[in-house]
Amino acid sequence: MAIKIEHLSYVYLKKTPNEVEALHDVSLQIPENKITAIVGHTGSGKSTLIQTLNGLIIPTSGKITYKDFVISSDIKKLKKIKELRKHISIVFQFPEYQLFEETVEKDVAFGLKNYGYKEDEAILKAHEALKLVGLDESFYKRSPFELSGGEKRRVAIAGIIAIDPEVLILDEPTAGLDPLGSKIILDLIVNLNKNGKTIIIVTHDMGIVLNHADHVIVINEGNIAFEGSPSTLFSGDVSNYSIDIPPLFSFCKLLESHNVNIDINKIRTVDDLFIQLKEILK
Amino acid sequence: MKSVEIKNLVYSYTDNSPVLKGISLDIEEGEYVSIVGHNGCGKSTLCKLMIGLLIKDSGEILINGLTLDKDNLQQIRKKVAIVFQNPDNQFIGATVEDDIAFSLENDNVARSDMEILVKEYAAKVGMENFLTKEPSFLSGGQKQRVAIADALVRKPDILILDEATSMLDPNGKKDILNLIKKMREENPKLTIISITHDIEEAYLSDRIILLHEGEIVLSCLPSELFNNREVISKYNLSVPFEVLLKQKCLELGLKVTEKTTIEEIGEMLWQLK
Repeated sequence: MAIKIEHLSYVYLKKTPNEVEALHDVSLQIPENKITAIVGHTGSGKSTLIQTLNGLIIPTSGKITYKDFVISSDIKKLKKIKELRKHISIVFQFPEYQLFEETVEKDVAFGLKNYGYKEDEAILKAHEALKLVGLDESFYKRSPFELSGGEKRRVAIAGIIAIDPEVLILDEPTAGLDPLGSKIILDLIVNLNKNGKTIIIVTHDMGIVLNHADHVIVINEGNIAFEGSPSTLFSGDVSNYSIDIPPLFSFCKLLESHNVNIDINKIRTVDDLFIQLKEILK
Repeated sequence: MKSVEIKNLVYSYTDNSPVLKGISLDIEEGEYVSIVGHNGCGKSTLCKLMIGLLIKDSGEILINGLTLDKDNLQQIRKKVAIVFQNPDNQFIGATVEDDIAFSLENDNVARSDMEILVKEYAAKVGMENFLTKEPSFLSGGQKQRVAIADALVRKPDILILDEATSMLDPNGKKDILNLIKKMREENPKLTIISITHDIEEAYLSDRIILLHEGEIVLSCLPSELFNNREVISKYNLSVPFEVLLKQKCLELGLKVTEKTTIEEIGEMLWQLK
């Protein structure tokens, strides 16, 4: 089921001289089983939005509906909040800073124990999650602190995957990783999506948006500036949103403007473009 | 003239495993070199050795023909400037003008000269209207531009950029890349050594050095590296759009060369159909 956001506003430091409206009357839907990218300037309201999605902060007005969970301004304290977070989970930016246990398997199992799993069940589930992120049994007993940056991040993501949420929100999941580390994380995200997870990625990287996102939301100064497909976004005027149009997309536009009959909506990689070109040139 | 000469350089953080395993490398005056490689390959260690922040185990480093050792360190540091990754970790002054002046204070520059230099270099990086602004009012890209002004105001011969654009958003990154281009036009003798993960950025340089586990795998033209499919797949590197596009065109039988521009390729393709 989609996540429905209606007339959502959020004000920081309300009723003080420093009050700031981070989100202003935002309405949108996050489609189920898709990869949705949220983009926008630093300070645009992206992080505020994702924090409202699993009840880390309560909206000032408006509401969010997911299945039979409702997060709205008129509830002071959320009931079933722990239950909600089992369905919608967030992987924060630089999640490896939050690792703390002695061993990799204990760290991944920690969240499960909070949900009432017994030690041995939790460890077993942790092993499954570690396998999904591509870390084999040689990692189980190692200290998370001796791993590389990319491996640490995979451990942190495994901790969330272990809880098996339906919706996974990732804030800048590739920031600070080298190209190989980024690729491993992105492949993992695509795989999770193929297995039915709804994915929300916050990112500055338009290459990721073009290659992987089904749906894009642009936030600008607390408002929704755009909602739609990556190709529609890059075709429009993006000069105000700190968005770098991927060179592949610009090139496709150039071809299109000279009546080369390509279907831009189906092009995510250079290979995709040339498969179409070969068809046209036949 | 050689700007940097490195001979058989070895360095280890702990006793057992060296991070740099005997690196030899020459960089010419005015050259723009990118150093690429996965995390832990020794890129940053190499830079820190070049400015004497770390002391080598063995081997030799010469800057402008001068051996880097205890006696020459201060003299060499006047010639080499470095800009680090995190914009927030290298802003020392209370304002932009203070920050640029700080570099000059260390060199005992007279106040009257300092005032002129601060304005001149702030203008070079496009920050002349922000002289009295505090860092909290600046974006990441603006702070990095100030860091570059701090470096340039001392008129170094060599500028090292240690992932200087990696924490910036697309606009910030574009600002810095444009600035590098402008700096090279104004001072063709300036040697630039850039450590980067960004392949589109590395593609702009004169030469790429690929490091892997403390050894140099390749040192060649960017186009040569990115067209070397064996190396690309072995070291899991990504390839810039322009290179991919040209490879695909060659497969199609189009005549493209190094010099063919993306626009020209577009033209070839729409004339074909």
